Amino acid sequence: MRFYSGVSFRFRKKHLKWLLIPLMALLVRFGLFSFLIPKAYALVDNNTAYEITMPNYDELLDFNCGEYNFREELDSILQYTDFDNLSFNISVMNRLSSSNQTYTNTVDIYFYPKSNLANNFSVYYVNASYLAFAQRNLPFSSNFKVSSISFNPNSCTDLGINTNWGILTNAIENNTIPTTSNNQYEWPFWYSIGNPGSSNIIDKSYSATYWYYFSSNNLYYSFGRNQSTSESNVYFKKLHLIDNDSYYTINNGTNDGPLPSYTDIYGFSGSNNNTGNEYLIGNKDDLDIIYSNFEPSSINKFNINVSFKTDINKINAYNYMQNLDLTNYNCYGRINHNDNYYSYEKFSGCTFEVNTDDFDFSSDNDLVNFSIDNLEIFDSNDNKITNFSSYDKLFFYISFQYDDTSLDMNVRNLNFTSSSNLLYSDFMRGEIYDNFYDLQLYSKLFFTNTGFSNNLSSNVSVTTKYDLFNNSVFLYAQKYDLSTLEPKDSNLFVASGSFQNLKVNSSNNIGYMIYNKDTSLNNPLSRIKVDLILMRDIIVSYNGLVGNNYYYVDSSGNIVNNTIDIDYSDDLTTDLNDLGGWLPPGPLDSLLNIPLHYTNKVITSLNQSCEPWTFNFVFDKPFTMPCFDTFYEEFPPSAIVFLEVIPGAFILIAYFKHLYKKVDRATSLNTSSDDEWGVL
Amino acid sequence: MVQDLITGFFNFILSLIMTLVEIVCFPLNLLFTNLFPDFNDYVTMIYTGLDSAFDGLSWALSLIPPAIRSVLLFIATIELSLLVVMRSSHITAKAWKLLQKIKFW
Repeated sequence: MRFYSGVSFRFRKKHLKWLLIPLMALLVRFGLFSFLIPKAYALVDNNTAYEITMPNYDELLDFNCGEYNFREELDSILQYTDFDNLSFNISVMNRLSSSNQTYTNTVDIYFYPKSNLANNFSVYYVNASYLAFAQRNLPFSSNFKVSSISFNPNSCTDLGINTNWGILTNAIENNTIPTTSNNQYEWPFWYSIGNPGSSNIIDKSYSATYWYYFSSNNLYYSFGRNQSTSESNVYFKKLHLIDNDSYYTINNGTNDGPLPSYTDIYGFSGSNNNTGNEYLIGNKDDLDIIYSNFEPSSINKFNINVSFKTDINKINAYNYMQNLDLTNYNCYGRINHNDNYYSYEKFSGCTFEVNTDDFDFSSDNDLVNFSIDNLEIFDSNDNKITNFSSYDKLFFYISFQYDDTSLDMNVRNLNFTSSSNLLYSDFMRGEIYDNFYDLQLYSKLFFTNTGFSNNLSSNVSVTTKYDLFNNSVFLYAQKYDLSTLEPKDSNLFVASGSFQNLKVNSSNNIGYMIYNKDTSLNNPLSRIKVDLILMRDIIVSYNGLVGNNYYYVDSSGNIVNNTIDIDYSDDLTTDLNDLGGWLPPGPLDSLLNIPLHYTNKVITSLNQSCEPWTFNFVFDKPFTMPCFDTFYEEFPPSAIVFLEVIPGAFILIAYFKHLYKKVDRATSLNTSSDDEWGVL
Repeated sequence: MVQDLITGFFNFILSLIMTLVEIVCFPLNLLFTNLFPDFNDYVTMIYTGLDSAFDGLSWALSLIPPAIRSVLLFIATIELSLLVVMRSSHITAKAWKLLQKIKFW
């Protein structure tokens, strides 16, 4: 075409590329890539699975469950979530009624963030309905059939407070069903979780003969077995895995059947001590092994599970504890029953000294945060333990429970490697449960000393899951000198956040565990001394894309604003941030992380709203530069076009040309073997 | 069976790589720790200093018109993605070449 101005444009083949982008957008818009969407299948037998039609998302959500409308409830959740990270899976599972021995297939709908599953999600679930019918023997018979998928609102219980345990077993995303060498099923494990902090989970009337449930993808792992409605007959009660930190509890009652073959079980769950021995599974890998040995002859109810990703930027709150009453304590030690699993039993005669001199519970001080200030552990001869080479794990937990709310803070999994004396991968955790949701907050500590007697340093990162309504989070972490178990100065880290306030009015549990490496408890503890220090009105605000700003309390009790690498999201910048810690802990790792830290900082700054800039001006007086937030808003739209749109378009066009050249070169195969990797 | 083999193989490779990385990092870390015992403090100091230098960054960037800022963010995101992908690929390739040269198996 030719214009009278003399400017001409001839459409050439090379211009086709400019059509590609809108073309691709159209293809995506009209679902031509829908074949990429994973499909859901119902298991039939070892080799066959029926595809399940994925229901419409909106229809799926729009049903009433109890007094709640699921969609409305979800919306109330999603205002705090990054919706882009939501997805859901549908899978079919089987349910066995012990009365008539019929099998019913049910559906789990499961929402979860697409990545970074270990972090920033909470669980939202509701009982759905029974869907299709099938008969099943173990292994599955071939007449298994999925007839339809629908929801029966009448079968829903109240949203969020249903504590039935679910099982999601048969969903697979391909047609192959893995089996172990002895032809047992390796179940695709999904999870359903009720109220992991509450004992009323097992008080529900289960008709199932026994039950279990699983999860995958770094979410909860849960399974259990229920032989009747009687609590005493329940022996798999809870399994709860989050990333590297997991636990399940077992009630090892007299009517229990044989325990499944565990390859490795370690750890401890502090809740529900009255139900018998409790065990902890350490990590997902262990679970995989366990599952392969676990005969999945159980049938269950099902849930709709929604997990979602928090938008930490919207959290601005504080939490408090009230009337802290440290009256009960427990000292635990590990007993190795055999090579496969351990149990934890209380040390007899162990005393726990808790110093709370600094606490003030006057009526106008109902906001109480505390931190462990001093830890001392004494052996059976009442000598202070300063060398932990005979222990392989150091586990600290403190648990405050009142009514239906508890707060647990754990420091766990200090792995003592005898050969190199390396101390690594500590894990600190704060948890709050209420009767609605599971709320957990984690801090990972990486201790980087090269010997027990050396001082520890730690790199703290925090991720949080949170619930919607009545929960708060509280966390602290502190570096310790393990030779004395005294905290190092200026290492205290405190983070807290809530939507509303949390009141913990009482406590009944504080414990400290030393894990023996030996098969017997040859070093029982006699005394543990803990000083708690008070921190008050800790307000944590998370700003910016990644949420780097937080407040902490230093050793003098001063609240200091600080910045730390906190992983709240799975966006690119956070991934960059997360590279810290990939190398073996040490100065090298810290050093190499500096450019990533500041790259992230620039990106974050680019994306966040303006903060007034304060700096020292003449005569050392602080001067605050006001923001120009409203500056551009005053511009007329026509000016905006010239000021923003046109320059932005030019920049974009220039960049796309640049990008095209890069991609073209990278894909032209004209590059040498050396630069084809780094050509971009 | 095959899955176990594959898993085992990858675990072996990964542990091999991790061991190599640790072997490489160990003397360096040791060097830093012993020669510069306060190194961590200095790294912290660098972080603190640069952080304070970056304090006004969000203010300064807010001077840029919002639409332009979004464009820059978009470009930076793509560039960083490319950088991360390419660099990690590059490093992976290098590590693989190194492993090939060792040929101890």
